[in-house]
Amino acid sequence: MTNRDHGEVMIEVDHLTRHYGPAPALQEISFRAYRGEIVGFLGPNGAGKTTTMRILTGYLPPTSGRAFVAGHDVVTDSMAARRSVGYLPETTPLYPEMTVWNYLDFMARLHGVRDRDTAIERAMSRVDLNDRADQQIGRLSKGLRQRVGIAQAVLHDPPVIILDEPTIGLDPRQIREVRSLIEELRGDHTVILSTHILPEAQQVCDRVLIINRGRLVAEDTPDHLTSRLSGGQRVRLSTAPEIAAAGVRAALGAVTGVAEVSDVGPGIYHVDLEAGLDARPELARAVVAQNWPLLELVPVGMSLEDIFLELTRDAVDDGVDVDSYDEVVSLGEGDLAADDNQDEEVNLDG
Amino acid sequence: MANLLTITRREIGAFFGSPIFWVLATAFMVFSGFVFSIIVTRPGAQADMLPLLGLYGTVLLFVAPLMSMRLLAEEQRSGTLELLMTSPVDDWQVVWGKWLGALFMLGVIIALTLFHVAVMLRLATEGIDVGPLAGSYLGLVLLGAALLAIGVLTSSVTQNQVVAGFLAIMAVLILWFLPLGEQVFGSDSALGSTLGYLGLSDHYFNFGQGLIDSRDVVYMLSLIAGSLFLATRILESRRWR
Repeated sequence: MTNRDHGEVMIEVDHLTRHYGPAPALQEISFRAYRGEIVGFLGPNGAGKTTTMRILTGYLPPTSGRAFVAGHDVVTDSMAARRSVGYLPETTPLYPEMTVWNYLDFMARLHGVRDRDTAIERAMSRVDLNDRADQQIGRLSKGLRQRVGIAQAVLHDPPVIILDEPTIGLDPRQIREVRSLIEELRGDHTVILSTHILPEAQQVCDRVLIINRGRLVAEDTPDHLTSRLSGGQRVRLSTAPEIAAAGVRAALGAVTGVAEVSDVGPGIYHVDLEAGLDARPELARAVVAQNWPLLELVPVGMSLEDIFLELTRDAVDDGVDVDSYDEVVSLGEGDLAADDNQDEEVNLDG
Repeated sequence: MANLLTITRREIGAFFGSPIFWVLATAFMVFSGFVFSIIVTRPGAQADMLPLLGLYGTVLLFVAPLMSMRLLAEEQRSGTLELLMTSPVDDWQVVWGKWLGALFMLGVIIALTLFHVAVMLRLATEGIDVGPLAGSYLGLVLLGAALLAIGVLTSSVTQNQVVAGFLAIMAVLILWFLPLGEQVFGSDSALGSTLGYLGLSDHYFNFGQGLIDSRDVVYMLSLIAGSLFLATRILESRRWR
């Protein structure tokens, strides 16, 4: 069990399933997000990220299961749930003929914001748009439009902000800007963002949910995911490039505690060790015993990208039951399950 | 209610900013001004606005669908509908708010023809019978409102404005010419009289008689409410598919 003493549960998703026609887009997904957290949805296109977000924002109803935003059921108490969410859909929804100010004023009215001028000015300064108030949205660059979209999502100061692929289609500098905007939201808001850019999730998110084919296949902090999923340790070992790779692989593979050896470059090998065994001294001895030079022997972590590819590839390639990852990965299974005092925990209004 | 008016306000702003409104308003004024000048300058002309208003109604059959085709189709295409439907606003408020905005703009166009009335009042030596004139204008506004509601309905079923506009014009023309069925089947047959009642044109022309029949008003209002109700249900159904 990880220690999840983050306090208030802001998003509670309980065995959510959604079908489009007979095809399941989302199957039995359960998770929680806490106040002040940035949670990343990671997954290939069509994995169910957008569907999950649309259910949370009240755009789509679930086929079965329940979801709560700030304690409000998204189906039975939809209006209250919608009021608690700021949402930026994947296709940044803007009216090109409006000015930035008029657009934000329109959205502020729809959300029933009392002091609209203050709210709009605050939102615009958060995304650094102050000098663009009177510009027509249709004439803004894509990066600026994305900022208008984010301003719209934070306008009514909602406890939960949901951003669907907020950096898609932006150039690298704009991506960095949007990322730092998202990081500034940390603490005050619970942020859920979806992405298929792995470094983005690694950099911005406190926690990552990997979704594949409508199922939650992994859930943890980026760091934990990296260490947990690789099971054991991975070591990079370098020797002289002219030594035949097959011979090196055989010699290293014979060492006790080595799970797999793969060559990744001339004279460079990745050695995956079995969990709990530090076989580095034996590896060093094995190399020296052959009279090969040992140039490098360092532990490397598996990147989130490796993990992501591994998880999603397995599920696609041979239909491995992705649930089997739950044991390894999902550390919070106990508190995700529908337990008896769930309703009390979810009800934040009381 | 505040949300509905917020939607209406934005829609009115969008109309003023869009070329289609100015093109339609200009075309309508050029056409009606042209016809008006012919009618008042022909020999033996009478100070009678009613034939003109009948004509304006038939022009609306095309103007209103072209005004309303954008309303929901564009929101669906650009993704802004998702924004509206995830805001704390009821679906029906989106539909009625947009319709109300379009109605306001159509009202502006209709109001411009009051200029013709002013000229007519100046020219008429024996005065003008105000009753039928007021009735005709009420009929014109109700007709426009009904046509726009049909346009909102067709605009809810597609992302494509052109398709929405085309469907609306087709639907409107079919409704307009339904009374022809009365002539085909005979007004004493059940089918004939039903077609006659369902037809749009007869109800509209009744308003020009100077007698406001509640049946005509009810017909127009039901057409409006029915179309907008269906449009709302169609929007809602997008959530459930």
